Amino acid sequence: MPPSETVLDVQGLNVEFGTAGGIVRAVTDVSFSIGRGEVLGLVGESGSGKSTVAHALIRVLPRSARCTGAVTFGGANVLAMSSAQLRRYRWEGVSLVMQGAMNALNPVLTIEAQIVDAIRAHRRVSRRAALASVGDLLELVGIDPGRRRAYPHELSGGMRQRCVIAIALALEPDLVIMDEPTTALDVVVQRSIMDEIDRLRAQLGFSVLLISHDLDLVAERATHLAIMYAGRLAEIGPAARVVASPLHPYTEALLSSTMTVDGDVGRLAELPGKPPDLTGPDAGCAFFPRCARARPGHDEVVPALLESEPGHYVACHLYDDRVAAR
Amino acid sequence: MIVHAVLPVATIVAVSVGNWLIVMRSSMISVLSEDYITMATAKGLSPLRIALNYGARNALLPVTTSAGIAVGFIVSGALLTEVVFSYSGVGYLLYTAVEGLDYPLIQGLLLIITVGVLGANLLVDLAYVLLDPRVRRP
Amino acid sequence: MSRASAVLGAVRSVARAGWARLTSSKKAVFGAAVVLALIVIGLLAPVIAPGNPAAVVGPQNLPPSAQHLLGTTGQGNDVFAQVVWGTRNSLAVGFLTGAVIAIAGTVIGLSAAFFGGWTDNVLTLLMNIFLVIPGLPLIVVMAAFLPRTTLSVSFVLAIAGWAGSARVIRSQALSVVRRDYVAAATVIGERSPRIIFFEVLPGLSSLIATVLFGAIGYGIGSLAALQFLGLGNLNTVSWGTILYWAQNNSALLQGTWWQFVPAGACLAVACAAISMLNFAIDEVTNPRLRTIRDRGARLLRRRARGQARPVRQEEPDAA
Repeated sequence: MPPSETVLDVQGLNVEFGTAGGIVRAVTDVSFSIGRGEVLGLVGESGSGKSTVAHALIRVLPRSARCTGAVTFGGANVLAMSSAQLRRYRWEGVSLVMQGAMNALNPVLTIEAQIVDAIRAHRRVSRRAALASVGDLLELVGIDPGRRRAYPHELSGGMRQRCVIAIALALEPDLVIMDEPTTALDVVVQRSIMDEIDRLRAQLGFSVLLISHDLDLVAERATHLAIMYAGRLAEIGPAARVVASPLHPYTEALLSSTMTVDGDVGRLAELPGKPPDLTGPDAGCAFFPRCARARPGHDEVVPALLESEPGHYVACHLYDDRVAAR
Repeated sequence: MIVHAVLPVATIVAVSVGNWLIVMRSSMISVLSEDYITMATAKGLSPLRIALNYGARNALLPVTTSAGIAVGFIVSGALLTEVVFSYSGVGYLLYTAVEGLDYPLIQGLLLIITVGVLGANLLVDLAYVLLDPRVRRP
Repeated sequence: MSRASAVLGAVRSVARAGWARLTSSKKAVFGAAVVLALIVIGLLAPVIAPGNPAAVVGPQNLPPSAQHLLGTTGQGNDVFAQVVWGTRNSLAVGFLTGAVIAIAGTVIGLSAAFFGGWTDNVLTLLMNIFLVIPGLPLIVVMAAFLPRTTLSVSFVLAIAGWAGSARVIRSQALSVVRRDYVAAATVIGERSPRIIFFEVLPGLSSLIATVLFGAIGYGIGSLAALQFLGLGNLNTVSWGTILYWAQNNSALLQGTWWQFVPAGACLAVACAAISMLNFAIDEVTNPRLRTIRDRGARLLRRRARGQARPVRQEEPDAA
């Protein structure tokens, strides 16, 4: 992907978990880059590996996880950073907005205290200076600064999500990873939160990695779109292109499984089969059992991610000339 | 008297600390798998700060609730320890009272012990309110 | 009765999985081995130390020798015989008390949680009263007024100890009773006893096991404490009474350590073994409590050293 100015570059990211049942490859060979001011939407069903990617980017995976590959930020490989470098990189370079803000906030500390924590961990400012900036931050996300001494359980769901966003923006990071920021909220609040994020992005100029299983939400707001299936990238490209002419059968199925308020109420497309339960080594394309356009031979070799149109990549044998030539 | 208390105190502490350790460990393990710990790590806070302000402060809550019961055990343990060390305390007095079947003394001592335990329980409950903002009423 | 057999089948498969994990846990194996060894010693007491342990067999206060493996007491009894025979009384009464407390606690806790309302209020009030009054002083006072027989001692211990178990069972039962499947069963029209046995009890089974072992440990320990204070049945031979006679004999002052160290050690080992079993059950039911030395991390390390492993591709839950 030709970057305008690349903020984060991921090459060949693999994440494995050691479990009692064997080694589980949650993420395999994922590569993408995010430019300044861009929004990369990462879409996939539960278990596709998207949250694992997010956690791997700031290295908050559990101890049983092993990452390989290269995640480059500001010239340094995040996966090889020392703990001192890592602490500087976290929150100042890349911050994280987690799913379900109620669980992401410490229940025994006030909102103010949690914001001050984040600020004073990175900047040598006095408590007073940090407290002063709390008010500005809360106003920025649309919360009344008078509620700064509130505890998380005293706020509504929407307000909590705004608090988490405020904490994430406290140090003006270059990239904000948003992991399902609106899943736990009702539709009306969802829209206002997403509008808020757009407004802040225009104002502060950060990039966003937007992770969701809701394709509609992401397609609306993202500049680029990446679809994940079974831990690998299925398709990645400019959002408008991917939505207008999806290449991968999985993307097609995802797009046709949603309804619009206007337009015909046709029959919704159905995706047969279950999410992948792959035991044993890779057996070709992971989507093969559920693919409507599958052909014999597609389940032998894992499809590589190839550029089908400029900037638009897909990992599917249907577009691989070498396979079609067989 | 204080000097003579060193050995009995050390005995009771040595026996009781194990239980607290186990309960706190179990509570801490539960707390450390919560999302706000992941968020605190992602925020780049120092491990010490995470362990104390985010981990221990939340892990202390269930431990505190069992602190009230522990006071009762301490009083019971003190009785045995006092008898073994012949330390003149309430427990030893109760023991001699029971041996001599001194009913008024037994009644009085049981009353004092129970009031003491009740008072300690009250203090523990108040401490819990201080620790956990979720139980406070605005 | 097919639903009952379905529930039993599910319980059996869970039990089998739990059993596999239990037998692989060093704590559980060690604890169980020690407890079993003690039980065997108690059962084989007439074989290991034939004769009457309360008989006078020689001069008093003899140190350990080939003739008297652990020496003699202040009354001239063989300490080894006393410790071996004492296993019977200590373990039996301890197990009995533990079982009574566990059963009483389960019944009362379940009733309070399930029936709610006035039943719950009254039972909780009773529980709190018995919890607040410190155990040993209460035991001491009760034992002072009751006859000094084994049964009444057991009764006293149970009265003082049931509240802890009942409270724990009640709080867990409250959360189980509020779950949807119990509400569903009530709506279907199942009668209360069936609901209690087939819906609520299975959810509490691991807690009941923990409570049972805790109560047994409490039973053994408190019995010894009571006997040590001279308030138990002084005619029996038990670890606690051994300690009582040793104290009476000023064993600490005289330096005749063999008169109290073996019995004390047996008590400590027995209670420790029961606690270990308790922890092992806790670990099986709450997997997070296991130490991080699990197979997963070991697998990854071995793989890093270049040994092949089977590969599965799946995202673990909660990634």
